Amino acid sequence: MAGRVGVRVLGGVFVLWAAATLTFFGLRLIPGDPAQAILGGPGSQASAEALAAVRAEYGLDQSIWVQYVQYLGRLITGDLGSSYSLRMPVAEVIGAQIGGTLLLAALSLAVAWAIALGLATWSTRGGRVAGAVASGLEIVAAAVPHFWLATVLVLVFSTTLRWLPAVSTPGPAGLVLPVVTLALPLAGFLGQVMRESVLDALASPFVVSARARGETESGVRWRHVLRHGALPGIALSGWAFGWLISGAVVVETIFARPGLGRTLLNAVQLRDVPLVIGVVLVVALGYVLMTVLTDAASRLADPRLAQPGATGRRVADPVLTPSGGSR
Amino acid sequence: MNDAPLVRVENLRVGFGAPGGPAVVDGVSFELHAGRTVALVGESGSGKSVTARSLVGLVGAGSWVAAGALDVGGASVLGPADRGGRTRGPSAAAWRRIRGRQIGLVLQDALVSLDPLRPIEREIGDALRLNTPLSAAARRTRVLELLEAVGMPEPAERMRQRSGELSGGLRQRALIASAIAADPPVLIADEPTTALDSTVQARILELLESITARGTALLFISHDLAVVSRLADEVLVMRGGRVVESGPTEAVLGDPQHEYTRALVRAVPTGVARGIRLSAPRPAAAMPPPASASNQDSRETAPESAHDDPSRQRVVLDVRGVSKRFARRMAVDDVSLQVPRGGTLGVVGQSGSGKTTLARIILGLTPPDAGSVLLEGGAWVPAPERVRRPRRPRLGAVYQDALSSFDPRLTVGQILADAAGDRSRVTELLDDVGLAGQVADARPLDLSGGQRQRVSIARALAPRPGLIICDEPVSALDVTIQAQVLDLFDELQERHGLSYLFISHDLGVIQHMSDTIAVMHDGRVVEQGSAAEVFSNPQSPYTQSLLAAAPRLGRSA
Repeated sequence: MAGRVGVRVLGGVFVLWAAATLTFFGLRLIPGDPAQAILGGPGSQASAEALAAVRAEYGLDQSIWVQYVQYLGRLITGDLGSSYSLRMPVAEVIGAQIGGTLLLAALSLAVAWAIALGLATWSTRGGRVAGAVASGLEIVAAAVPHFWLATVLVLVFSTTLRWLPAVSTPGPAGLVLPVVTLALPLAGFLGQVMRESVLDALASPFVVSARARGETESGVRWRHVLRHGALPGIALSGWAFGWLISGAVVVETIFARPGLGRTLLNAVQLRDVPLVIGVVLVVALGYVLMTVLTDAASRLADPRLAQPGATGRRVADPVLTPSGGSR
Repeated sequence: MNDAPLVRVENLRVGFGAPGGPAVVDGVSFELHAGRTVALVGESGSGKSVTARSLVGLVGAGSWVAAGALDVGGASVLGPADRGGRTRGPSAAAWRRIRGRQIGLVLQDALVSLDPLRPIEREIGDALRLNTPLSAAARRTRVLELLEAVGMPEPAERMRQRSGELSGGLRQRALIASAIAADPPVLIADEPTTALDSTVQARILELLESITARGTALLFISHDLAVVSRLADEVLVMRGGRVVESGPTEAVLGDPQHEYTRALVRAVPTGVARGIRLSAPRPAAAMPPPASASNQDSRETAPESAHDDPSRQRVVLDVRGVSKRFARRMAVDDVSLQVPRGGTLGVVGQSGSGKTTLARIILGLTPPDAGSVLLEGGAWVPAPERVRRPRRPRLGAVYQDALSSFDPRLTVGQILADAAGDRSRVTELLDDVGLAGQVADARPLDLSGGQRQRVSIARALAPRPGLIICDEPVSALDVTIQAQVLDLFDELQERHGLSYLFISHDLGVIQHMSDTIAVMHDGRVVEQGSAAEVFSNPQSPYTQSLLAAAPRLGRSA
């Protein structure tokens, strides 16, 4: 147990280090002068002295390796540095923006789950036609890009019907279109795996046993099938979180909604290295935490995973399979 | 005794697809009475399970049911008939009042027949919640009582466990508890002991007997005639959806009238002397036209290859003090065995006794911790694979699951040509195992279970081995197919002078096939001797308990 937690923590630290390193070097590949960017971009026409002063102040005159080591050293002490463009500590910028993005991601995940489970349950209840319809809907939903979906939703519900604001306003109404934009493609993915496992569960002998006990159709679904159907969805939710954050970059920009995604896009455009790395690190940390959480949730929902060996084999009466333990 | 039947089935017909299409159950009639057991016997696909499930309306989607009468508890469950005489059955609510309350159903493997995500307490409690007015607390007490009644040790602790955490026997008990929870007067048990070891099977059969002794009517479904002869008062022998013979158990199994019943009874290997055929002499379907030219070739080469063998030892395989430990338990513990040339050593034991690990050690796939194996007088294990490889052709292997041992993309011809290293011998090999030449173009998935096992035997024969390790080679087969494959093993032994190490959990198969027998338990050989000695006069207490637990078919003459 302690060993597994240790491996987990080490893995998480590795992911964070890799994210910081890749971002640090990746940003150097963008053409242009970082000092220029700090002074307000190429249009600012800063003097050579001003540029030199900025380079000295930010350590940009030193070699890239020295800068990298110094940057890592500051990260380890928890100092994310100061944003070039906003002239504020990166931690403060992120603190102000993270709430909106987390709310958007959490709501989208919840809505996607609801749609996927609903679709899986409805389509397996109906006949072959319902199954084909659901399967088609899922593939289309999963294939639609966010920017296109957002545009169509705005055209229909804001421009034509005038039901909802085209720009994300504070309050629930402003959240509807961004959430739907993020949730629909995810629901397509989740729906496909959930429907598959619902069908598997419905064909299992334990469902025949339950029916033979006199269980009702809805009892079969609520007490037995739903949980089996949700298992792959839970396992996928860690991945889905990362996917939602990257979707948030597009959605927050289109709906002019404040949040981490839009902050990240602006920071990249302005070559604001500390802010980009800060946002990337926070997102990576969130991804690591979500993975741990979904892992724990999977173990709660499926006790077979928590057993030693984790193959569903019982402990009391081990059977030697041909491959068992010989390697 | 009350004479009114609890269930009355008359001329039952069940089919899938369009009504009026072919029926998978055709003209089945029987009655279930309190305290009596009726058995449906037959091979897979004979319509036993479909017949049973039609009593609880769980035949499956797209099925239709028609009958002269189908009464449960004195009331018809046919519902109003349409013009074609077919019915849609009663409403879903009416079926639910029958399921669990009037008829309980026990399925084959409780690992998958109980929801693996739910504790058995909730699975059993569901039957009470649905069919009795008991409160949650009262249900809990009743679940405990039920688990005690089915002989579950430490019920208070076990009820919180899930089916995957219980052993095969215990989870089958839990499944039976859930079926009898609401005290239905009729119980259907569909192959309830098929996945179990013989001693565990014996205990589950005792439990079922005690349930019928309390006045429950039992509809028992099995392919195992020995189990049926112990449990059933009346037998219906089914084949292709029809009942070919029925009547009191002793009459049907003791003095079978129908040809198919005779074939079934004859196919049971228990107590049949070594060398006597179990299947009909030459079933036209399974055997090819006799003795083609290539067949004679193989007959000529057989003695020649034996002549080539430098050692000409009396003992083909000599296992000396072999041990293997996995984690904390000894899988194989100081095992010594010998296989005589041209003879068969049977290794019998229950799951987990170390049989398969022993086979893997002999095949050189698992290195032992201690001990050695000599093949035809030469060092075999331990030895570097480089030294072993040139002699690998002398050792063949046949496994239980033939299908998963083939590459599904290859045709049978490619599989055999690959094993023989020579395309020209494919027909000869197929002929040797009684398969027609055109099987070469088929893929393993297209073959029946018996045909697949014949192909895997042909593959083992391809490099002209002296010894074949057979690990449960007939365990997945129906009894008449099993009989044909066992007969094939005998024929091949005679034709090619083969030696076998024959591993099985089935005492009857081992007794019929072996010259000498080794009984394994917890990794050790607890008894060894000639087949006749071990079976007539077992010395070890474990062998005695194994023999006592094995159900036997009462044979007349």
